[in-house]
Amino acid sequence: MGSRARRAAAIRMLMDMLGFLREDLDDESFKLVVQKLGYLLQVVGGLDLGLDFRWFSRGPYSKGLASIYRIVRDVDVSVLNDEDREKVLRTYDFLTKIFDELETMNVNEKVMVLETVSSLIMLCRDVYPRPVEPLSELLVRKRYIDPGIAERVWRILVEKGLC
Amino acid sequence: MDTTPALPPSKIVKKIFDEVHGYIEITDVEKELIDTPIFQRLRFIKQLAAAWLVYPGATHTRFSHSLGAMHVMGMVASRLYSIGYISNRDDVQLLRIAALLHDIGHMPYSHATELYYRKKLGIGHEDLSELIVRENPDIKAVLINYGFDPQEVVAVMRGRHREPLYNQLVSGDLDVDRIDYLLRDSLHTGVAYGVIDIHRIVSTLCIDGEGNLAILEKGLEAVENFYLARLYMYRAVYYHKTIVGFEILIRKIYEELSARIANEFFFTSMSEIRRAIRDGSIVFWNDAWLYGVMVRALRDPNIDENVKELIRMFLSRRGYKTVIDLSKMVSDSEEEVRHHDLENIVEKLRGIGIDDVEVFVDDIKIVDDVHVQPRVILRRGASVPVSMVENSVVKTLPRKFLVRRIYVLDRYVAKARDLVRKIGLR
Repeated sequence: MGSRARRAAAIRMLMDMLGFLREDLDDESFKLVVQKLGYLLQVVGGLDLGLDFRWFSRGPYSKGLASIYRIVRDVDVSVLNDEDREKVLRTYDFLTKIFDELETMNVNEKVMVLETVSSLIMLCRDVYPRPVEPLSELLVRKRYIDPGIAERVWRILVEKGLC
Repeated sequence: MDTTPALPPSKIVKKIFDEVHGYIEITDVEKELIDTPIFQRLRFIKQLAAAWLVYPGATHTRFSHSLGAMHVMGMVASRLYSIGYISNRDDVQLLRIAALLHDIGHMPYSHATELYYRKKLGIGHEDLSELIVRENPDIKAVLINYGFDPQEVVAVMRGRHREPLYNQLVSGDLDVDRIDYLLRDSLHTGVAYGVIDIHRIVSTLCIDGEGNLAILEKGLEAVENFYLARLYMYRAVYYHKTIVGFEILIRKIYEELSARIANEFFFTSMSEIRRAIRDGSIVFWNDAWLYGVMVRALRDPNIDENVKELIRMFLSRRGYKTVIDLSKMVSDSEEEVRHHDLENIVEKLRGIGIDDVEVFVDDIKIVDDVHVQPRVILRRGASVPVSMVENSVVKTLPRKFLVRRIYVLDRYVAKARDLVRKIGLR
């Protein structure tokens, strides 16, 4: 289950490995990254952080993460055990493969890809009624998402059996 | 503009007079849900657990709040339907049902015992509400008979409906639950600062270009008032030091009695809870049941005197008292009082022979994340989260109320406060 410190540590470790901590993210983007990584750690990594995610207009959102934004940058990751770290690595591998396939270079593109990936997975698995065409659903709701990127992400998720 | 009422008049079968909203109209499906024993159970669960020990008028129930939340949802959903943001008229009824049932899983004395079950079984009232909608035969039968999918009702309740707008109405910063309970709790406690302008909020609701719940700029003052009301109610009622002290006492009594008394409603597992939901016996699990257990325990020779003393304290209004209160309102960037500062004080209290010490720590959001805040549509057409509107009061409000207190039983309070004074914290 998730203590505050454990949640923050897992997200911090992943953010660090993906390079987000080195970037100068604005406040809204930082929070968005924390939220989406938290979701992906649970759903893709299989790490039980005890977080309950709701479906809002920017994708999966958990109130439980709103209290850790301030501590993510500085938390000590040694609270994570070996099993936790394995799951963080699993999530890292998943995301870096996507970033590499999409040739995602700058941080803004990465943030958009994170939002796209997590939103598509949530549409496929967690929302109800299930949309018949999650990709179309996403593009109708989020007109700011690049359709080309969204389609490529969708194909990757289908190949990996996540959608 | 379509002026068709959101709910067909033929579906209204009853009106109930509510002290907050006046007449609340009830449809056929709502009446049948309300008439189920498991919904009627909410008449026996107070909305504010132990607040009546401080505010004698605060005896209103989860039952009236559930009706109120449904009514507010009806106002909001009807408005959004009338301006084209909800296209399916049946969804107005779906949303009303979700609001009606959102608290059906509350436990005896509400949040006082919920902490016990969160620690013991990892569940809260929202989980029980979901379980009830999915598994109680009476609720399921009504929903299915009227063509509603219990799973879809649960999806709205848990914020996982396919339509993100519906989730914002139920679990955003400006949601129907909060709107009703602020009004209701303010009325019953007499705390005037909780009053909000519900009609202004509803009449200026709209949706921005990205599907977010939003307010026209002319409704900004009403929304600012909502945030201020919430801030004051947190301090004056929901986290009132004496009320929290009694909630701690009730939780302790519950823990002690559940360890000593064999009673089918001191649930020890999810399977027991599930069974009680399915066979309907859970209807007896309410405030009155716990009160009866306490009274019987006083006369039971097998119950420790310590536990009886806790019960007598509750019955004679002698609760846990604060020794030190380091609570404060903070912005995002301010230093928090660290938990280990409180732990040091606890050690010192134990060092002078006071073993029963309770530390109460909670971080309450006054202004939530920008992702769940309502947005304001400014004159030039752009929408921004309310906390980012340049001349808005919400921009300057504290973001959190950090509650940090140490409580002891009243027989130790003089000694404890003396120690705290000597170490310079009072």
